[in-house]
Amino acid sequence: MIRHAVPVSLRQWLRSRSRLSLLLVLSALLAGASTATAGELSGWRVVWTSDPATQADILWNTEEAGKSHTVYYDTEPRNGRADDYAHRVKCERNGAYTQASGRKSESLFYHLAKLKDLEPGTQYYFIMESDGKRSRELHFETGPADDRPFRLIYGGDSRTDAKARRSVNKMIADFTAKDPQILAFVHGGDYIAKGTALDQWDEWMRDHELTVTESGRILPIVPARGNHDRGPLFDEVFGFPDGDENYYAFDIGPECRLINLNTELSAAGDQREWLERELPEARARRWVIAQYHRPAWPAVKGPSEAFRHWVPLFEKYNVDLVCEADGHNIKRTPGIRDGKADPTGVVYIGEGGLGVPQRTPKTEERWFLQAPGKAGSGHHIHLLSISPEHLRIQVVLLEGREIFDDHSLTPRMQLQPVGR
Amino acid sequence: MAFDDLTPELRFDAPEVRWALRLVVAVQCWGVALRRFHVGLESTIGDVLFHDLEWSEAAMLLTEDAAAWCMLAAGVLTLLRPCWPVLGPVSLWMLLLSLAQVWRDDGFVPQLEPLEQAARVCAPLALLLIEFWPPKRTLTPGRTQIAVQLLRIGTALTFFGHGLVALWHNPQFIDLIITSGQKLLGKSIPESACKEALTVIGYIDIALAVALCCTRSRAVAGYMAFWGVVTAASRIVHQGESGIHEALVRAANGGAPLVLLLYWSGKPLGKSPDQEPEPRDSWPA
Repeated sequence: MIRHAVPVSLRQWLRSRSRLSLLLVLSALLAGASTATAGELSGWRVVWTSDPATQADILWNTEEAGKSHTVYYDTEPRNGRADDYAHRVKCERNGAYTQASGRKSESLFYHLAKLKDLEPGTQYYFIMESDGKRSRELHFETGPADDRPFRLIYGGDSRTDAKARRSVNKMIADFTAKDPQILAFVHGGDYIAKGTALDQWDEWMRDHELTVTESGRILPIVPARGNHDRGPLFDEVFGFPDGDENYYAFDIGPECRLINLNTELSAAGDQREWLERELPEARARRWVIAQYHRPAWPAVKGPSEAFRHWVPLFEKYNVDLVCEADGHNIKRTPGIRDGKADPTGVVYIGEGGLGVPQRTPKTEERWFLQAPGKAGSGHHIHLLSISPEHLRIQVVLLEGREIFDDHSLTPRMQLQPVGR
Repeated sequence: MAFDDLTPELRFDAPEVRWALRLVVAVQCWGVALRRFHVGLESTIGDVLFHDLEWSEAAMLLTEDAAAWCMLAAGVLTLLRPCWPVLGPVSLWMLLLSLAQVWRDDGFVPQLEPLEQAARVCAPLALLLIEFWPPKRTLTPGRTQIAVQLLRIGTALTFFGHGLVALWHNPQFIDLIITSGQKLLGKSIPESACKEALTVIGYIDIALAVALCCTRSRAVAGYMAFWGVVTAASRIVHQGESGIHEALVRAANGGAPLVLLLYWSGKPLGKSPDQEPEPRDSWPA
């Protein structure tokens, strides 16, 4: 009755308004849903711990455990349409993060998918999916198979100053967007202050998303464990097996070997034996780079066990460059051999400024910080340019993005292992 | 705790006992000072002040220098004339150093640092009670007993803490054994053998800690004094000259049980060595 009482034109108007409202409401809900989906898959990471030309680990977090977690990937962009990607891989490890109490978290879960049999030197586009919720499309480049020039960003210590950390991460994104030769982000450890604090890791992982460019380019991380990164969370964040020793090595291109060591383990024991086996083979490449957290040639603190047990091996096998962190400053030593400056010696750089208060290096007391070495303070990244002709080390300050240091090494494959 | 300790006749009046404790506290104070002056390193407290409490670097370094000078002076004063205004802050500083390690969450198992460093905290407190000044007070059996128990608890906690991290194969201990083996024996000990040795050492340390709490065995105190000195001295073998401060700051690890050994080996006051101790028929007050 009432219906008939309402004029037809008004009914039509109401219907059209209802449809419009319904459409608006549905659109808003869908938009909201898509925003929520993107937000729920957080802390995206690509990690390199083995052959970067053919493998990569992709990790992310969700607030619920979920049931199905998948990465869709392809060598062409697919704009996030899951069905269009040529490949998909289910996560091989999913789990709740371990809290400081030892109990498993009920509100943050990690997911690890291992991408294998990738093509070298190729852009891979991927999305992460958890129970139908998807991330935006991201992409990274695998390590090259040929001897092309490439760059790495190196830095350490992002543990205390979150504001500075976010600024450095944005700077990394800017550099990555402008420079397609940058392949990876080598992190020297001390990501957060308390390694067992899940909230700190969660914040770090969310901040790490700031290193992703507008186009979705994400740099694979090459992680080292720092003295503040103790506990199981480090392994869970970077996809290492539980209780892993966290030392490893791989080639980036055919002529560069990157050796990652762990100063939180015995330096004199099994790890040294592994290093002694690794270095002769590594030396067959043009460039050998090592990285670890606690410095052998510190600018502020005392030397770690690396000094006693690894430095003789670095010198014996003529390692080109060693990246150290922990000291919260900037340093580049001259070549060092037998405790003295020597152009044929090993160059050490570091010591961490990705978001941590900076110390003043003890330049007057420590000869290896004086010219021709260089030391200073300020939040920074190291840009390592690796080519057949040289290994160029540039330190870029966060403040003003000035170049603090610019130094090049030349290949020295003609040097034979030095007997000791 | 062994109630034998409550024998009121036993005193710390024997000069060798007092001087041993004075020396232990003085040496550990100089160890702290030497770290700053000789090796030029800041302490864990400095690290907390700078990184966590956001002090300026200059203020932090000034504090570190002041603390080192104070420790140097405290060591001298402790030898010349122990007094509570010096020994109290020394004990507090030692406690803060271990708590700063927990705060920083740095190291193998930072939560165990207060245990591992308990002897360093308790030794100055024990000396404070024994040689209370100013004003000078006669040493009472009550204060004697508290001092003995402090040394006992401090030593036991230190050995218990070290025992636990040895059982868990602290990488620093592994490096210590390997390097010491290379320097002293000319041999490189495999990591697996070090871990086995650490397991044994860990169990022994924990057993000693329990034994020290439950008995008044001079053999236990003697072994702990020996092992405490050996492990402290191993820092010098390991690190050479730059390890001297590490050894000195650990003086109480061997020193505190040594003082207990001297105390337990001493004759009760006012009795001849041949005199049999009188049987007790009631709980001492």
